[in-house]
Amino acid sequence: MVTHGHELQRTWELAPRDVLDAGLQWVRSLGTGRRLMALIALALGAVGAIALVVGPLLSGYANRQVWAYTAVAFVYLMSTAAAAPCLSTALRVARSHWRRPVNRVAEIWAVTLIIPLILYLLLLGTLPGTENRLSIWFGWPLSPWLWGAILMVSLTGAGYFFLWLSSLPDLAIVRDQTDSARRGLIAWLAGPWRGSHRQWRMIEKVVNNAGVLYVLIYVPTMTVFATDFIISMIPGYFTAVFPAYFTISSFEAGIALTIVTMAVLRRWGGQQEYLGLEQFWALGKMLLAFALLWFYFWWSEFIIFWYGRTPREINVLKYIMAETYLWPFVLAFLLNFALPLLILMWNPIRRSIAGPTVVAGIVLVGNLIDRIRLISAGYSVPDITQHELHEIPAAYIPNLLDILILAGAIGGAVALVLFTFRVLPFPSIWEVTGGLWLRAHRPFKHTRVIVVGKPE
Amino acid sequence: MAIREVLGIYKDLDSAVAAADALREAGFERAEFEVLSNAPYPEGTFGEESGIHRLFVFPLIGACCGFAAGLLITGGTQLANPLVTGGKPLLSIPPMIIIMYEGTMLGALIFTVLGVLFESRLPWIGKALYDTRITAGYIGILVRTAPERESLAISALRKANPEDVLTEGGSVGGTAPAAQ
Repeated sequence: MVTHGHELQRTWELAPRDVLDAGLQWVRSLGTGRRLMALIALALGAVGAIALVVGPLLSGYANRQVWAYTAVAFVYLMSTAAAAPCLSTALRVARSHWRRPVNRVAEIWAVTLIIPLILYLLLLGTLPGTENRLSIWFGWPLSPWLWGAILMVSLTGAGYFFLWLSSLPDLAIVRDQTDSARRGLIAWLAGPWRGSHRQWRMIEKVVNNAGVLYVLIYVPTMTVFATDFIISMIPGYFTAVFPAYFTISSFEAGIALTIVTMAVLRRWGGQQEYLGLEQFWALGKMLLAFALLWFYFWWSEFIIFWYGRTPREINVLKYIMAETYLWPFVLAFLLNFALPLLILMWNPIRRSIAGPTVVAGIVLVGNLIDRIRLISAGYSVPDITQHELHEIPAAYIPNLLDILILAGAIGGAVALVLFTFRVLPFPSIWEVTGGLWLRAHRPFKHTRVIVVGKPE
Repeated sequence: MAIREVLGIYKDLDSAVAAADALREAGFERAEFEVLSNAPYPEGTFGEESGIHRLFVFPLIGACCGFAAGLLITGGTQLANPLVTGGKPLLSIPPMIIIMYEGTMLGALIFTVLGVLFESRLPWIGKALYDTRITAGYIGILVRTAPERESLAISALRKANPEDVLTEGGSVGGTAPAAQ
C-alpha cells in the first residue's frame, strides 16, 4: 500500500501471532551462516586479545605510544557501540511507532560494553597522574583513574541494565517456548517474569527511564574521556568545544552503526517485514542532521584557533589538522561531514534503503579515522607537562600488532552481538506486538488506511 | 488467611475481556485478579483502573543519597585536610562537580534497579499459578481469592469459553463436567 509517497510498513499488516512466530523462528533457526560469522568474529577477537598481550601488555607502560591503538579501539567502541543505545533512548522518548523494531538493533550493542570497560582498565596505566599537568581534574586525589573508572563502571552497569530490562519479556518467551533454553542463563535472566498487568505497567515506564539514565551517564563519560585521552595529552590544546564535538560525533557514529546493523539484518537476517523504508528514511534524516552538527562543532572549535594565531594555537592546528595528521583529518572531514551531506541532501537517495546504508558505512569509517587521528596525536607527545607544543611530534604509524588489536576489539564486539542474537528474538516480540494492538485498519474514501493510536 | 489461586487460559482477547467482566459480575474485586499476557495491552483494556506506583521516588532518593555522598567525599576530605592552596579557595569546585555528578547518577541507577524490583514484585517469592501458554500468545486471568470462593471463580472463568482452567490441584478443564 502506497500513499503520498510513503510506503506503509508491512509490519502493520501482520497479526501478533506472526510476530511471535518470527521472533521464535529467529531464535530456533541458528543457521550455519550465522554461527560461522560469530565464530570468525570470535576468532578475530581472540587474535586481538593475543596481540594485546604480546604487544602493549608485555611492553609495559613506559612507552605510552605502544598503547595508542588499544586506546583507539577503546574510544572507537565507545563512539559507536556505546552510542547506539542512546539512539534507542531518543526514539523511545519521541514515542514514535516506527522505532519499535529499531530499538533492539540499537540496544543490543550495549552487550559489548564489557570490552571497552576491560580496555579502559588496561589503559589506566597510560594516563599519568594529574598533578603538575593541565587537566580537568585540578590535581584531584586519585584522578583521573578512580573517577574515570567510576564513570565507566556506571555506564557499563547502566547499559546492561537497560538491555536486560528491554529484553526481559522476550527472554521469558524464549524461556517458555524453546526447550534448550528452559534451564540455564536465559531462565535465570528472565527470572520470574509472568507478564502480569503490574509488571507491564512497570516495565514500559522503567525502560524509558533506564535509557535516559544511560544517556545521562554517557554524555559526561565521553566529556571526561575526551579531556583525559585527547585534550590534556596535547600541550596547548585549550578548548571547551572539543568534548561536545567528541560526543556529537559519537552520536553520529551510533546512528550509523544502527543503520548498518539494520541493513545486515534485512539483507542476511530475513527481516524485511520489520525493517523497511520507513526506518531507514527516518534514521537517514537523523544521520544528515548529525553530519551537519559534526561540521558545526568542528568549525566552532577551529575558528577560535584560526583567529587566535598564537604560536601555541598554530602548533596545535599543524599537529592535529594541517601537517602531521593532515590526511587523516581530510578523510575524517570528508567521511563524517562532506560526503554524508552531498549524498543525503538528495531526496531520492535519502528516501531509500541503500542511500542511508552506504552513508552509514562511510560515517563508520570516517569516525574510525577521526579517532585514530586524535588518539595517535594524544599518545605521541613525549612530555605532556608542557604548556604548549614546542616541537611537533611525528605521526604515529601503526604496526601489525596495532591493526590486530583494533580488528580484534571490533571482532570481539561483533561476536558478542551475534552470540546475543542467538538467544534474543528479533524483532522485539513484546514491543512490536504492543504496537499492533494499537493499530486499526480503516476504509477512507477509495482507499484503506492504517490508524496507529497513542494510548496516552 | 489461606489464599487459593485459579488461572483461566484464554485463546483470544475478547474471551479474556469477557472473563474479566464475568469475574466482576460475580462480585470479585479488581484487586482479586490479574491479567497475564506476553505483550502489553493499552491501559484499561480489561476495565482496570490506573494504579498508583511510587517508582519515581526511588531514583530521586538514590540521586539525593549519591549527591550527598559525593559532596561528603569531595568537600569533607578537603575541609578535613586543609592544604595550603596559595591564596586559592580551599574547595576545588570543578572536579567536585564531576564527582558529585557521578555519585548522583550512580545512586539514581542503583536505586532505580531496586525500585524496579520492588514495584514489579520481582523476584516473586509467593506461590503463583502460571502456564507457559501465556508466552505463546494466550491470555491468563489469575484469580487470588478465599478458599470458599474458589468454585465461584472457576464458574465465572468458565463462562468466557476458556481454553483451560487451572487450580493449585491441577487442570479442572475449560468446561464444567456434564451432569451424571
